[in-house]
Amino acid sequence: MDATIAVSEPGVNVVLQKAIALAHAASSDTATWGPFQVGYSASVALSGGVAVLENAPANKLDLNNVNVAGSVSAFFTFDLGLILPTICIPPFQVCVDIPFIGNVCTPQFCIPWPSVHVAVNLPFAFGLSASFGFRVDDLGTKWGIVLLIDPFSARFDLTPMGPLIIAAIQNEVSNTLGSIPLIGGLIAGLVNTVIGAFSGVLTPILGAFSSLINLVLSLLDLLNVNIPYTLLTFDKTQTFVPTNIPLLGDAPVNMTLALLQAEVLDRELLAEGQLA
Amino acid sequence: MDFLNSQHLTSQNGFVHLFHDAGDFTYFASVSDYVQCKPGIITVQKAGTAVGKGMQHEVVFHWDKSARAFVPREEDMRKTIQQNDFVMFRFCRAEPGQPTCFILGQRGDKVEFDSRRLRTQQAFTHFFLTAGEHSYHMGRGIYQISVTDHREFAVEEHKARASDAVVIIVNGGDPSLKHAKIVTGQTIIWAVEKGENVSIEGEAYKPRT
Repeated sequence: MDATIAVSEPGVNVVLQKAIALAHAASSDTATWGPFQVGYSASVALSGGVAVLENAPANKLDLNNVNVAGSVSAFFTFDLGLILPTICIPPFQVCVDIPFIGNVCTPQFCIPWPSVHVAVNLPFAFGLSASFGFRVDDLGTKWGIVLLIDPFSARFDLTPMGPLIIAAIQNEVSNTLGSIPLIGGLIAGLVNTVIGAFSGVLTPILGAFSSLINLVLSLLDLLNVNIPYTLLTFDKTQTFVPTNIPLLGDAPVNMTLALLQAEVLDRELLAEGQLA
Repeated sequence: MDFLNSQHLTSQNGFVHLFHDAGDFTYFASVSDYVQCKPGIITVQKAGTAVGKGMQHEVVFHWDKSARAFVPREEDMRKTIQQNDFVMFRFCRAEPGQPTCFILGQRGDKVEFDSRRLRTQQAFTHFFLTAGEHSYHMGRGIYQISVTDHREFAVEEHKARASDAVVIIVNGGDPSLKHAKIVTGQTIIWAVEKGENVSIEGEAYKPRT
C-alpha cells in the first residue's frame, strides 16, 4: 500500500523562509599585518530568497537571491613609532641668556609616537544563490527529507570597505598627531606615510574579512555542506481514521511508513511512502 | 599628560649644571639610589672664562631596554669642557616603559650635583605638551602654569610664541614668575640664582575644557 504527499513549490518556500529567518551567526578572529594588529568579527543574517524546484532527474532545489546582510566590526591597533620617523621638536633651538649660567639653549623633545586604536563598523550586503539535493534520512521514529547543499563559496566584493577603513584611520591619525604641538606642517605627510604603510596590507586584510564571512556562512546549518538540513519530517507510525461514517467498533488504524522516497515532479516535492 | 617633577626626570626635561671647578667628574642617570650605572666622565679644564660666559655642552641619555638603564651617547661617555661651561643633560626619544630618573654627578666620592636637589647655577627645563592648568610647589609655595593648546592659534602665531622660552629665576625657593602663561610646545626654564635643595613638583593638573 502506498501513500503520496506532495508539497508545492510555494509550500517549500514557506518552510524554507522559516529556516532562513532563523539563520544568523557570528565569529571573530585577530591577526597582525606588519605594524597593524587587527581584531575583527563578522555577523550575518539571511532573508528573502526564492526556492525553485527542478524536476527529476535533476531533483534539485535552487535557492536564489537570498539576501545576506551583516557587518564586520574591526579594530586596528598600531604603534606609530613603527611607521613614522623620529621627529624632534621644536625644529628650532630656543636660546636664552641667563646671566649666572650662560646662553642656555633648551633641549629638543623627540616625540614618542603614540599607539593608535581605530574601531570601524563595516556593513555589507550581497545576494547568494545555492543548489540543494534531496535525501531521505532515517531519523529513528521519523523519516526526514533533508536538503544537502552543493559545495559553494559565496562571492562578494568587499573593496568598498577599503576607503571607509582608510578614512577612519586617516581621521584618527590626524587627530592624534594634531594634539602634538609644532608638527602642524608635517601632519599631512605623516598621515600619508601611515596610509601608505596601511595600503600595502589592505588587500590581505579584506581577504581575511572575506574568509571570515564565508566561515560565518558555513556556521549556518542551512548552508553547511556537512550538516544535512531537515526540510520535512514524517512520523514512521501513521494513524488512519476510517473515511466512512464511523461505525461502532471502527477504531483508528496505525500503520508503519516502511519506506520513503523523495523526488520533484511538476515542480512539486513528492514524498512517496510504502505503508506496511 | 605632562609629568612635572624635577625629582623625576622624563624625556620632556633637561637638567643644567654649571662646572665651576676644574677636575674630573663622573656622572650617570639612574632610576634609584640602589642601582649602579656605568658612569660617564667630564673633564673640566682650567680656563679664565667668567660665569655666564661659558659654553653649553650636551649629554644625551637613552633608555636601554635590555640593560634597563639610562645610557649616554657614545660621544658623551667622555667629555672635555672648560671651567664655567655648563652641561645640559637631556634625553633622546622616550621608549615605551621608560621610567623616570635623576642625574647624579660626583667628584671622587663627593656628590657634586644631584638633579633632585637643585642649587645655585643649576636649571631644570620642562617642555609642555599638554594644554591645561598646571600647578606645582616649590618649597612652601604653590605656583601656576596656564598652558594654551597650540590649536587655538594660527600656525605662525604659535610658532612665534613657541620660539620664546620662559625663564623663571629662582631665589631661595622664590620664583620670579608666580603664574606663567605659555602654549603647548613651549619650554619653561627654572634657573636657580641662589638656593639649595630646590625642587619643582607638580601638584595638580586640570585639562582645558
